[in-house]
Amino acid sequence: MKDNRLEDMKVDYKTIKIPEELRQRVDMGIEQAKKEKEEEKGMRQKSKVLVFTKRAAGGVVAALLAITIMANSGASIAHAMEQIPVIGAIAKIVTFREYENSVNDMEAKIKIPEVSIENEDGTVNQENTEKINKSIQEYTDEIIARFEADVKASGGEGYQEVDLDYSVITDNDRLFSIRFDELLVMASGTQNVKIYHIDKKTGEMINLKGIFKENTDFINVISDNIKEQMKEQMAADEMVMYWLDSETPEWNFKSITEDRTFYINEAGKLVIVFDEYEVAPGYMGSVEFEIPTEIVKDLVQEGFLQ
Amino acid sequence: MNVETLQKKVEEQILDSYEDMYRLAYTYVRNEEDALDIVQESVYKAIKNSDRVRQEAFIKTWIWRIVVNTAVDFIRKNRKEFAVDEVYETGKEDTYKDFDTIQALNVLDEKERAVIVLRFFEDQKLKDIAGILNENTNTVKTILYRGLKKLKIELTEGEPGYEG
Repeated sequence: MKDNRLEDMKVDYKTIKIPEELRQRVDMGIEQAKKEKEEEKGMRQKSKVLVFTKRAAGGVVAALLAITIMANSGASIAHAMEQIPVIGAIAKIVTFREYENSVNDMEAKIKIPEVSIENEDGTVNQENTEKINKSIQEYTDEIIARFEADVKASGGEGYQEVDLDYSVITDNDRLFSIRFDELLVMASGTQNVKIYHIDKKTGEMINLKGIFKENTDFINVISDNIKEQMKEQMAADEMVMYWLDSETPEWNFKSITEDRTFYINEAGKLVIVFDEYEVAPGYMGSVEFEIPTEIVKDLVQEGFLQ
Repeated sequence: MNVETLQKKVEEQILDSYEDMYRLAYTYVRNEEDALDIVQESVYKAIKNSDRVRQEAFIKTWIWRIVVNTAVDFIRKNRKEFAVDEVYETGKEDTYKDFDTIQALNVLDEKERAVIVLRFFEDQKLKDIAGILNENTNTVKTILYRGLKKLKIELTEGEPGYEG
């Protein structure tokens, strides 16, 4: 026999009397917070301690495409930093294409850059150029296909906004990185961070393992550091949450893998990236951890980190 | 999304769902005065920290989380008072309506109550409840069934949460 008590409870719950005062109290809460925020803003401007961060803001997913330039690498790897000779290869964005599609409230705007990699003598390195552009194309095709599938599935009646833009975030002796920021707004959805790395020396894609020396224990060193950072952040801020000591141990973060998503930031630090839901509840979005260079300096190959 | 837009979105969501926030708070304290305090404080926290929501899609989940945390904090701070209540000192509870069924929730602990209310009364997905309570989905499921057992409710086929 069907138990109706849950439904009865729901009815009672939904008819809990809403006091007239409620709206007023809500407005008070909003005003109080806004006032304090304004005051804090004013104080910051007065003392000119404005902090600019490059962090992705709400809804922005970072994807990054990096070309690792390992010029003259055979000889230089064994040498000290200052001995790395002038680089031989140059990578640059030569042009871009744009995909735009809009069906009612569903809109996509995707910029697809074309990269050119040149040899020391100024000629275009066809093989590597094709590889990197193919990788970019596969990535953007996937986003476009997903959008078109969503349009089809909803009969064009859904609500979605996809915006993909790019910028060159690193261009030094060793690394040239293009970062893709994908803004995806929809009723609900998952967002993933996608990063490609191309090793110019071999023309092959490399993963996290590829920036480290062989047979080094970078996995445990980095994993332990991330756990420390998680603990510190949670202790300092009750709004921050990671799956670390939750009730079901198999869901807890234990270790990174050798193909963990990463990029190298403007300060030359290694940044480890997790997709949403991977190590934290969904409201945290995708999360990133900057790894202190001193703990991996003996493990990493030269020229990548600072 | 920039900080101002985010704050606006959070505000919109609050204005859209403050009655839900109130009901949820009410199930914890079962009196108007305290529930109003919890809502006001939750609204304040949400606007104050609106730049910490990373995605628009998670604003509602995040606001639920703030209400649950604020309610639990409130109860802890006033634990003595509520302990007296439990010994049949129900004078603090409102009496304008006979909430027999809502009273039944008293047998549940804080987490069980949150899971039951969010899942069955607010129709939240288990995955989102996991985010609200900082538990994984399996744990939430366990809490859900433990709560139902305490309430002596068995789900029938087709009801949300039923698993055969």
